[in-house]
Amino acid sequence: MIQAQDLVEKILARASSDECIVIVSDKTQANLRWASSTLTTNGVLQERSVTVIAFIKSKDGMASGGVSRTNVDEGDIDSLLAQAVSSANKQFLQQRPREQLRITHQLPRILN
Amino acid sequence: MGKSVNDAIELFGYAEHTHETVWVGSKGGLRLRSDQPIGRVEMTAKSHARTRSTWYGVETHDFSNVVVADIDKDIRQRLAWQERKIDMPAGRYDTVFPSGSVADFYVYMMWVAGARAAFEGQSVFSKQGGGTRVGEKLSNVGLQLFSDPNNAQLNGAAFVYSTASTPFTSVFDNGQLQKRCDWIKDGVLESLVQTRASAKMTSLAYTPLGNNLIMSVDGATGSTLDLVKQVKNGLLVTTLWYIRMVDPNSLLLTGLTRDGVYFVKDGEVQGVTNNFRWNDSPVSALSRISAAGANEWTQPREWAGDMANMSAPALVIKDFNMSTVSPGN
Repeated sequence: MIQAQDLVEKILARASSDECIVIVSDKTQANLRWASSTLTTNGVLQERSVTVIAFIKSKDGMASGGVSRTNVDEGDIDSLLAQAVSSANKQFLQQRPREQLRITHQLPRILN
Repeated sequence: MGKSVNDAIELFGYAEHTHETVWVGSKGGLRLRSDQPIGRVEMTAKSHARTRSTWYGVETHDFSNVVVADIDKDIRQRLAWQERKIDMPAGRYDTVFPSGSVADFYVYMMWVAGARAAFEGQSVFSKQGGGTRVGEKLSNVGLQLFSDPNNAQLNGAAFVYSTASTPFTSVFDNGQLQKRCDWIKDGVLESLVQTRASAKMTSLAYTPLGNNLIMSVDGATGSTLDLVKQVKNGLLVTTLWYIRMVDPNSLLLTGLTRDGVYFVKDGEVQGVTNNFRWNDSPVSALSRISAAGANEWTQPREWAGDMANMSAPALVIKDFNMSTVSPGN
């Protein structure tokens, strides 16, 4: 498996968005369970989660979009980046409804 | 385990050790790493054909602080207390909470301590007429509640990382320095959980939620059992369970007691009583603290695994609302 820090560098090197953040979490776990004074199960777990967050500038500000996946290798880098960028682009389309949401949130305070 | 089998004590439990390493990098040049080893042991013991039951939990980084003899001593003491059964009715009781149940109660409070929700009138920390309750005195004692990545025992990440924006965190804050944040200082609400955007919105300091939570009461010393000695007529709970929200405005929570509630009279445990359903608010309880023990590294039970790095004192809360008797064990 590729080292986490190498994976971070390789993803960032290929990122074309205005900004990009990569978060890799590597987790290992061992566990034991017992019942009626007898060991019943034991487990070993290894997990890697990779998150890519793309940031895209517009005249209204900065949009962000992220994707998290497990089981990532070097061949997945381009599709991860593309998905993060596509998710960030969707934020521009959502800007109008988000504005409306903000106004309704303030209503209870006006009623006070 | 052999010793327990000989004495007809059945043991049920779980032990876990996790090591998580997080790397954060950005196109702009950010390169950060955080290592977080954490583990725990949970032990439930039953005796007398499973009519008696108790629980013990300990949090650890490397198991060096897990002392099996201490676990054995504690569960035997509690199972012995259960020899005498005293039925108690629902009502308000001066109640001793071990640090683990204090942790379960107050982790919930932190989970609703987002500054934006408070500012928008949606939480217990909203001020009537607008704004937040920051600056308001909440506790009758010198209570401190804070997160500190430099704490010697409960290490936390020295920087903020967020894989997705939530009411508590923002992907735009990745890599920000995690400093000590005081949530309650000298009993006064000092800050709420902020993103940089919510800090601007509320005109308060940027105080991101850390990986650990430390609660202490000024001058408080002693253990849970030392607190029992100070109770004239009340209860000692073992753990809180199935904790759910009733009313977000007052942060009224409900839940059950589990694995042993003890009746205390004149500073001594008299015997085991029934379990209860309880209805009370951790925010309201802050102003009803009649005694507190020393701060100790502890393990929440319901939120075990969700909140690994927490230290808290055992507390005696006055008039805790045990609303109905629960027939369960």
